[in-house]
Amino acid sequence: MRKRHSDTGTRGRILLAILACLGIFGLIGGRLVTLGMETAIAADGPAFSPSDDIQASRPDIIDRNGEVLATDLATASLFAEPRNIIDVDEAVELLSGVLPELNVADLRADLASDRGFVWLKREISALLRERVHDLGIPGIGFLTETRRFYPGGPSVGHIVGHVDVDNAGIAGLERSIDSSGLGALQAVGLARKGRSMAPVRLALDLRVQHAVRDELSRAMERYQAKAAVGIVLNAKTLEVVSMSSLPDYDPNNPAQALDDKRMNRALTGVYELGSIFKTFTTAMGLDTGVVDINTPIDARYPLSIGRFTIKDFHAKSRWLTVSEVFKYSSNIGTAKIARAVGKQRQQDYLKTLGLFDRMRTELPEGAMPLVPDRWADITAATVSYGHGIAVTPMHAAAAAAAVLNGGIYAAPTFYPRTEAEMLQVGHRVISPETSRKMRDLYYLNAHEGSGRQARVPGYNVGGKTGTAEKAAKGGYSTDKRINSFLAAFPIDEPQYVTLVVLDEPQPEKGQTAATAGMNAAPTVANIVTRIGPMLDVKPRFDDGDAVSRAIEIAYQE
Amino acid sequence: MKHPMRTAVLAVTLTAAVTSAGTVFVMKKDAERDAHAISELYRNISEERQRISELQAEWSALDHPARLQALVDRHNDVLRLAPIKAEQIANVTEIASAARRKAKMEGQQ
Repeated sequence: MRKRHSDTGTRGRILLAILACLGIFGLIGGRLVTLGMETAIAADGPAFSPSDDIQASRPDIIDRNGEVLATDLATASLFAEPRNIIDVDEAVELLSGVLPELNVADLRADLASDRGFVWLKREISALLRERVHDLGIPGIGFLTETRRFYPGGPSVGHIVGHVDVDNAGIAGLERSIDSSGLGALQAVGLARKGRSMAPVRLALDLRVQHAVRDELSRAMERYQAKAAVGIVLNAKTLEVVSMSSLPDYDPNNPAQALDDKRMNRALTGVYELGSIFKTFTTAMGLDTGVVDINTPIDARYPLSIGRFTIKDFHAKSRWLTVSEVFKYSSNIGTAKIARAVGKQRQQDYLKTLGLFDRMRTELPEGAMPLVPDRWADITAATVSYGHGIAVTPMHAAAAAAAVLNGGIYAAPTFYPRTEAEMLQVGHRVISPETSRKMRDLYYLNAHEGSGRQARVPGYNVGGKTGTAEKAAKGGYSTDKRINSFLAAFPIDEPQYVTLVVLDEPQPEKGQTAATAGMNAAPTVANIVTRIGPMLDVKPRFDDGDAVSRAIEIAYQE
Repeated sequence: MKHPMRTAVLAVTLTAAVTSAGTVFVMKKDAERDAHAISELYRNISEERQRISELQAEWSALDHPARLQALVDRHNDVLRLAPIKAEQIANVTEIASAARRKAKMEGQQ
């Protein structure tokens, strides 16, 4: 009886244990089932090996048509872990056999040290990598690194800039991309190899950029200029479609960038640009209403201000209308317009046109204009025709675009911008009516004035020349000039503004003079001829022309 | 058999335990294999991406206008290419009206 009783007790305990086991297994089983029912969430990419962390990845830079201007390429870099090297002498011998450029003494010192990690050679070719690998030295290894490659080459060097050996941007857009958040991403390890980043699209057109650069290099050769700058802006949005400064450098060979001659003159060179400033003076004269297109101005005699005398280069010595002052590029007439506008208003206009402030684009480079501290009477007069004030070519191109596009100014941009966005960021500098009159003056100057050589059939180019003598010790040099031509096409409804600046051009063979009308203007004509069709500017001809031309085309083979 | 019932329960339990252990083992191996395959695929994708970007870079270098211009200059006796001129651009209406004019002129003759 007692035994029986204990038997039921044992039995009960066993049953309890079985039930507990069943319960636990049931729980685990049930949980497994629920886990199986859940929809699987894809893991976010593969796990990264520690070696991926050492290198930062950068977004591609592409032009407006998607041509790659800068991209990452994978390369191998050789490293050693000296602690793990067993036979230093053997390793040194083998390595220097494959890589003779390594310094043997340094290599031995490196490998014999007690350090955990040391770079031996960055960026080695695939072939060498294979050969070092085949040596089979313990403690020697490779890390794949990315190297920046610029398929655009020197054409876009000044715009994209370049990176250092650690892939951090140190010039141009590369640097701007870093400062606009990529640097922070890299610091927390989010921007790494394998993560695709959206490419950075520019407003630049590589085809136009090449055409401008090609024409500038021809002009430099033809007129033996020291340097040349070419800028093409979209007149309505002030997007930089092309910006070239020769001599330039190849971003694949960044050491060239250290050469002062190869600096980006379009943004960092300041020049007294001369007569193209008459654009701004005439615009402010018309906009304030102190003069009109046909107001007569006395340009009979040189103008004396204090101990200075202002003379005209092609003196007409008679009364000129405002449009004639512009056409004949009269210094006397322009100085008189500036005097009528008044010193304060003149400064206000120049300021709203951005000519007093540092040029702020997306590029880190940008020079401060040289503006006189004191605005004396003589300053007001010389600034009116572009002397005594030095600005970058980009300053002048952007201000001219504002004068010609209907009167809206905003800092030029290297990123795409629509007209609606332009209206939001821009501000009005002159009235649409003044802008229309300025376009008429530009048309006149290119058809009857000094800009005749800039005409291109079908594209209705309007422009203003500037032949400025370079400032030299104690005055102005007579044989060293900065020649510029500021143009817009088609001038009745400008789509693009082009500025060409030639530094110290020489007269061509058989010519005695080297004025802007003879070198900068034809350069602009060559550029417009090439870029017009690329930029979808529809050429227009007079009716009669159109018909005969169309017949020719229709019946051409 | 002394306790047929007890033996049967034991047998069933043992079988269940062994089977489930085996199943879990197989599933674990499967999962490992799949994880491996997935990481392999990710690696391939990343390699392909790298390759694509290399090819794009190469294409951009090959397609660079400066290179094309040099090639055209060198082989222009065969290619006979020239930059397009504004005179060569016309729209359909211009051509149609010109064709009509020409037809009329021929009719008069």
